[in-house]
Amino acid sequence: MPINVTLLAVVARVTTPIVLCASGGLYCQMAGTPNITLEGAMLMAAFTGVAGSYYTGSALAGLLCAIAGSMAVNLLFGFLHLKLGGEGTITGFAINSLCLGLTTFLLRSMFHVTGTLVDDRITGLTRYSVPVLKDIPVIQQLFTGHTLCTYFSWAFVILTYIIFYKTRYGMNVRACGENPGAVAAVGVSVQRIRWSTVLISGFMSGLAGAQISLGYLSMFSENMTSGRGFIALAAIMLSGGRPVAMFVAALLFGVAEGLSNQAQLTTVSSHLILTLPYLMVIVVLLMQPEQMRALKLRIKQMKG
Amino acid sequence: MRRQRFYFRIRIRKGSKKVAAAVEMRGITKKFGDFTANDNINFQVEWAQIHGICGENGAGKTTLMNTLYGLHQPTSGTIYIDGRQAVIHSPKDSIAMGIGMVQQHFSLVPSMTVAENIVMGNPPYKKNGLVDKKKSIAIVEEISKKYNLAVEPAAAVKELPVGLQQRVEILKALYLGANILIMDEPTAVLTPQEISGLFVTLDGLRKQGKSVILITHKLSEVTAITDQITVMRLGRVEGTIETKKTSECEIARMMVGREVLMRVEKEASVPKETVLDVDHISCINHQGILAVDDVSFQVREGEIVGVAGVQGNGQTELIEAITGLKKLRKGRIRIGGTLLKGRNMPRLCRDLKIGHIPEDRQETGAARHASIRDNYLLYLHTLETFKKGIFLDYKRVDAACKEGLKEYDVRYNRIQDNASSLSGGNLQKLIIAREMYTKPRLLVAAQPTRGVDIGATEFIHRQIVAHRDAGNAVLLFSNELSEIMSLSDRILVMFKGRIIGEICQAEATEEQLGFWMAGIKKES
Repeated sequence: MPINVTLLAVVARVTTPIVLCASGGLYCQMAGTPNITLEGAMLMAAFTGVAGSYYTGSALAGLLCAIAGSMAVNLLFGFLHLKLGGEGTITGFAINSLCLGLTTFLLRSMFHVTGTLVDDRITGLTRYSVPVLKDIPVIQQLFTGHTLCTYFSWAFVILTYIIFYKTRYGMNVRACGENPGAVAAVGVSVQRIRWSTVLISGFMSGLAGAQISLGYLSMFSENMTSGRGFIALAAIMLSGGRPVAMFVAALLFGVAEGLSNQAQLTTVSSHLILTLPYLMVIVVLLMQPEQMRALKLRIKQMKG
Repeated sequence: MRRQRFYFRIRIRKGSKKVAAAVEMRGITKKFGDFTANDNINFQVEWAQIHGICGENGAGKTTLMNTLYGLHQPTSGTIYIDGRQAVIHSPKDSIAMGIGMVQQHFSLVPSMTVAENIVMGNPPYKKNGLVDKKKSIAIVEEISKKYNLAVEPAAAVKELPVGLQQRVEILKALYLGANILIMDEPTAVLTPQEISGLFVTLDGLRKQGKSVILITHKLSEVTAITDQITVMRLGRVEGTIETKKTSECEIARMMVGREVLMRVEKEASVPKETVLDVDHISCINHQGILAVDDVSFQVREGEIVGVAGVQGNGQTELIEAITGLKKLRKGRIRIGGTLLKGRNMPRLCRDLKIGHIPEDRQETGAARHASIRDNYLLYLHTLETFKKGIFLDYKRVDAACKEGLKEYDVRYNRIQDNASSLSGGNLQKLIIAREMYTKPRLLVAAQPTRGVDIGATEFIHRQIVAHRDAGNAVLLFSNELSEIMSLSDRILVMFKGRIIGEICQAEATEEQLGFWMAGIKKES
């Protein structure tokens, strides 16, 4: 299989929504409100982003609409889960189904198309290149012609690291997940912290959705996110709460997706190749250090 | 917040002719729905004193203290802190007034360091707005020196033993400016050595002019350390007494509302046939580390054998091995001559008539979300008596269940209610009633009275002795040395997975057992 030299650029592109989405979801995970609505929020954002761009003709307006759409989904999640006390997983599933149905319905009723909406009025996000870095061979692929979302996703991983380990807010978030009593006992509202993480997740999923529908293609199709939210979720689970590990995991999935994109050009069955990123998730989940340790222990106990 | 702390310091150092009480709660009533947890409570704590609050489970001690700490609001009544009326809406308010609380279940974050946990409520910042870790460590070192409570600031909390974790909790409260420290059942999780360490700490705080409120139902502890004792019963204050002028018996009487026998009455044992024969067994714990190391002993009919030891020295694994819950690495266990082996070991153990009162009643002993009846029926459902063809004979089940619960004085509403509706003590009695139903030849009783109040403890002890007198074997595990010493006919001490010593009841002294528990064995 010939590996194209543009692989790096492809990886950077396809990893962006996963990283954005996962780093937002990481806050929820750490605060003890695991958020599985990433997929639904991202899909909603992809739709509202395209709709916003379609009606205003402005990419920025599209981006803001995407964020608003995703925020609305997360507000609903927060309301049902945090305010009314609904079970997180069930609520999340319901919201994901709702988003899939709602975006499909709105696509058909607002734009009168089924399947895919492509239109000249949809303006994609502007792409930028980083001066100096764009002239260095190989690395240039990472810094040429990407949207601001891509660059922001990298910066946000570092920012998240600093927030988690160096600020009081981050300490409170981590404490919330491990022992909510500890936070309440020092007079900080657990509920407020959790709400804030849900909103952060909403914002980040909004960016991720915009990246998917406006980043490179400027179009929307039904179920466009096709499980990337769940891949992001897998990256969060794998990371054990460490932002950098989360980034590496997301990158791994990105590489798999990038490879599968490229392999589609070969003679191997394209359906088979499209399973590559998801296979990767399973393999990596199995290789978690905790899993390996548990396995070793089980073997040891079987012997003894 | 700062100003408030300053105010307290002045007040404590100079003192005035008539010093106001540290805490005064007047006419506090707290209702949860129809249930009155606190009924018109009047309660006062002086500065520089340790004040004990005693009472049985459900007497309303914790509710009262949660009200003081702002975890919930009183239905009526007023609170005065240092003579001034206080409105406490949340822990934030109570912390600002210099109140700290160490909960029964610690509020620490396991993965964070000691320093991070201590400063969490109000961390020092660097100029760039980030939390200053170096300074946090320095602060922790400073207060730990000031109060003489040594901790390692950079250690992760999850790696510390429970006693040190509690110390971290105390430091956390002190860092937030606590002058009044509430401690809810602080000794429940500690070893005897850690308890004496805690008392030294509390005494030090008292000498520095702080007030400590100690919630407990262990009488030896309140009489050992407190200045004043408030006894609560059924949501009311039974009385406040000076520790010097009272005795354990008097407090017990006030707590239970009747005379209580403080010691167990039993005849000398008459052991007969061997029931349990443990032969050189070893097994590993859930982390894969050798936890029981070449242990051998026997338990005979008509005797109670007590196993003492500091928690985590292999007792849990030994219990699991004997009740068939854990595979052996080496060795054999025989029950009445039958070798324990096969696929379904726990069931085999049951069929060989082993009764098991598990250490952890919430997790192993009961299914909290199942009904009281179903909990009573666990294992008993396999008995022919309760079967009608392929169905259960619920008429007979209900009758047996109600009778058993009545005999063991379990307080419940309906047997269809979830087991989680029972208080800890009642759940324990339910489990014991169930295990006693089959009249087991060997009763493995682990922590049979943990968290159970005095009245119920007395009852459970009598049942265990009666079971022995009926010619059965009892293997008792307990963290309470006094319980082991008063109930057992023979005492084994475990240390690091081995049996380090054996002694009969008449010759046992607390000192000797203490040495063994610490792993010190004198060669004679």
